[in-house]
Amino acid sequence: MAKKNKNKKRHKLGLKGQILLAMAIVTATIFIASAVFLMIAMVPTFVSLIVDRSKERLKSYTVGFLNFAGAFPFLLDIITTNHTIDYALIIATQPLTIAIIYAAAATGHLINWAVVGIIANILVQKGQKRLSVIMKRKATLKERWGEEVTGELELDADGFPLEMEAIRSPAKN
Amino acid sequence: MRSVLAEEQDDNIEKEKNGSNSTGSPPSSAAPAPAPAGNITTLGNDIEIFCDRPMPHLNSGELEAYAARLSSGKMCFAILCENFLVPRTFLTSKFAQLANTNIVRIVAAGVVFWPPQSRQRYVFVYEDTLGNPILPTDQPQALALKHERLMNGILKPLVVLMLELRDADLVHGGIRATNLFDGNTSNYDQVMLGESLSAPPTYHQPSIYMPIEKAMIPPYARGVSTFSDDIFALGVTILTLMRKDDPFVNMREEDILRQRIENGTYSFFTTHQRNTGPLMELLRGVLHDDWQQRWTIEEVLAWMDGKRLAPKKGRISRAKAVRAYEYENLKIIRPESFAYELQFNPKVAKDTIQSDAFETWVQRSLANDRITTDFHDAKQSAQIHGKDGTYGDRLLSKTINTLYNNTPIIYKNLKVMPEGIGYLAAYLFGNAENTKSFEELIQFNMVGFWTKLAEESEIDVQSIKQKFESAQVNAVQKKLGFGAEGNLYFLCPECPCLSPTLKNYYVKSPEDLLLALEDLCSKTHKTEGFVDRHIAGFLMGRDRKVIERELLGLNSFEVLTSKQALLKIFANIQSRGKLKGLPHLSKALLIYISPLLERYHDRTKKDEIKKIAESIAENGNLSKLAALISDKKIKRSDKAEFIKALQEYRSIRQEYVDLDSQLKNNKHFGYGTGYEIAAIIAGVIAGIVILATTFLQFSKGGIF
Repeated sequence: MAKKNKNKKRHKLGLKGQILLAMAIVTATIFIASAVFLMIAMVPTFVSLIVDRSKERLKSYTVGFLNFAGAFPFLLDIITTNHTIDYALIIATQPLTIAIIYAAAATGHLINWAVVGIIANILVQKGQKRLSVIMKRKATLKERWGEEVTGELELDADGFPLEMEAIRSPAKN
Repeated sequence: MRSVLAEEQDDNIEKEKNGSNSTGSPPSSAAPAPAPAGNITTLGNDIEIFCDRPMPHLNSGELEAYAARLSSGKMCFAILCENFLVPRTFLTSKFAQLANTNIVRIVAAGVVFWPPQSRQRYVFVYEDTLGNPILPTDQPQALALKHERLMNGILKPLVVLMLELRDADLVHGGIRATNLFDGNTSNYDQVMLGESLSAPPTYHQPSIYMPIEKAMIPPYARGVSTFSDDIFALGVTILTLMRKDDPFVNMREEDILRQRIENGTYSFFTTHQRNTGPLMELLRGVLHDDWQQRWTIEEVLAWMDGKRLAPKKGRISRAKAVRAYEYENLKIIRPESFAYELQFNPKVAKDTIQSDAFETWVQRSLANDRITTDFHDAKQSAQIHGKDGTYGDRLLSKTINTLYNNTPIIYKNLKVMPEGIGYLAAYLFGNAENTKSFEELIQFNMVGFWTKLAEESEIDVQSIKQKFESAQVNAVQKKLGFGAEGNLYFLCPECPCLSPTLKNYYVKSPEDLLLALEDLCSKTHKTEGFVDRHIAGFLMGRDRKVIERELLGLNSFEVLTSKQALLKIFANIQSRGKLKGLPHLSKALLIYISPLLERYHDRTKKDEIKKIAESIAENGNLSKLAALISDKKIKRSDKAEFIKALQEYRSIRQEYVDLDSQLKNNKHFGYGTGYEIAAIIAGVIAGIVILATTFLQFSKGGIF
């Protein structure tokens, strides 16, 4: 029960979000033709948003950016020539239009896949290189400061291994 | 006549600083110089001592005499001293300044390397003008000298000499018949008095030449001699020379003393030796057992001038019991005799003095208020340290002092005058004898009771009292620099260092100590044992400043701290004494302190410091070595850098663990960055498309 409440709480929009939603609804109402067109054109983005469970939803951004880039020429046409719901539906229902828009979205998905693959590979390589640098640095530190620098030996107040205490036994005078 | 020692002694310090000995001989006083040739050793640059030419007739007691020669060709003789019989070196310059010709003239004194024993010996070199002894020790002690010859040949020159000694504030301590020489003349025209500096005061005097209280003590424990003792010895000397035979030749020393105590020295001597004549008046005056009633040198002179002196009035009449006490088959009336007898059988003595019969005898038969009160005090003060195993010994010692004022302290097997405790300690330590009784004597402050009784006799003992109170504090501490060895050098400031390490050296100053160790290190592979209880005590006694600040460190349970402290002490001595380089000692110390050189975290710096230390040791500069080891700046920066390194190591180790874990376990490693970059690329492309589309739309043809 508490978990549900928590989830509910998480999805609840804040004041800022509520204002933005209200503005979006108002804008959509005013520009209803564009809104109808975008509702159809941006379906891949909406799908991506639902599928992408990551916090940042960066994959959805990638798809969304190119999806919008694909839809933008048609949207501009609707706005500049006949900004009506009918015209918007005509444009949106043309197979070529849909193909272009959805192909752009697919390109976004492709870019995301390729770039992530390349970058992850590079980062793994870099990580392995870093591991080897760390190993070398550790060896250098050990060589200069001795085994006690590892912190694995018990040290006295002056930072020397307690093994050296053997030479600190009571004076035989 | 050379005015030798005055100048030489003044130059000593300067020469020692430059590594030469007190008489200017070879590079160091502590470093034995090889004999120049065969059996000849040198003192300074101009005195040769012939090790194969003993002069037994000039021996000073058991101390041997050997022929010596100045560079001018003048013949001398040298007396070889023993370390444990502390010679009176501090009086050499004063004796050398005496103008009197009836005393052997001292030419030089100092440390020589003695080839027959391959060790250093302290020697006194005297002009060989003594001739033959008037009365050799192996002959009966009687000479039957006629009155006139005795007066003119012996007494007059001796009294003039003693007057000069008194004026110079000197006590000879060796006036006896066997120490008088004919000066290579016949008929005693130039009688000569032999030496007395080669051993503790009055060490060579047979007990018969000593006043009763000092005659009871072994010669090494008699302590400071007084001029009055010399007057007494003069009386015995006269008596010896005038008698026809030795009445004491078959008498035991104990019996002689017993009778002296019972009858008084003068009465005892004159009973056994029938002499008559004017000299008897002199002898009665100078042989008085009470030093305060004994004649002074002025009174002797007045007598010689023909004045007849009235006997002095005794201060205190001798106590006498109305009833004799039967002790060890003796019927004792006098407390002094009782005190004397108590020393021989301690077990019986301890039982006796703790018995009611003895206490009753003291209170009723003796009925002397002073003794009764003092005996009560003795019992109380003996109880201060509890009624432990030594209570009986303490009470016995104090009872003896109570019964016989001014007697030495007789504690267990020790018999000693308070001023002689230092010499006694030197003797005990020098002969590796048991020092437990000596330690107890100081710990229980037996001198304190002695001084209390002495104060009752109006003798000024304030300085002795204070000295032994300090010694008691020292004795309680068992640390280096204190304890029995510390007290040895505190109570006997002239004593050379008796450390077993330095058995072949005569070390009389901290500078000598370093020079001896330098020599030792050059000959052996010594890398430890640079300090022991003797060396620390010796430094405390000689020059507190060089050791005091480092004493805490020296006594530290941490070896590193004590090693560092030792290095600093030696560095202090070297710099204070302005000694030149000590490379052998420095190199040996470098090995000794090597654990200190390991106390750097930075291996590079450690190696660098080791190299610097080696180069410093090569030059023998201990001060620089100590400064390097103790450089806090280097240590601080080393520690600070180490802490940084420690933090860095910890940080990169954590980074390694995290990164390695990510690489191994996270299949989506780097995806986040990939998404970001993909989003950016997509955003840029979208932006370009939007801009291009807008541009085309609003250009002439439009897009569609």
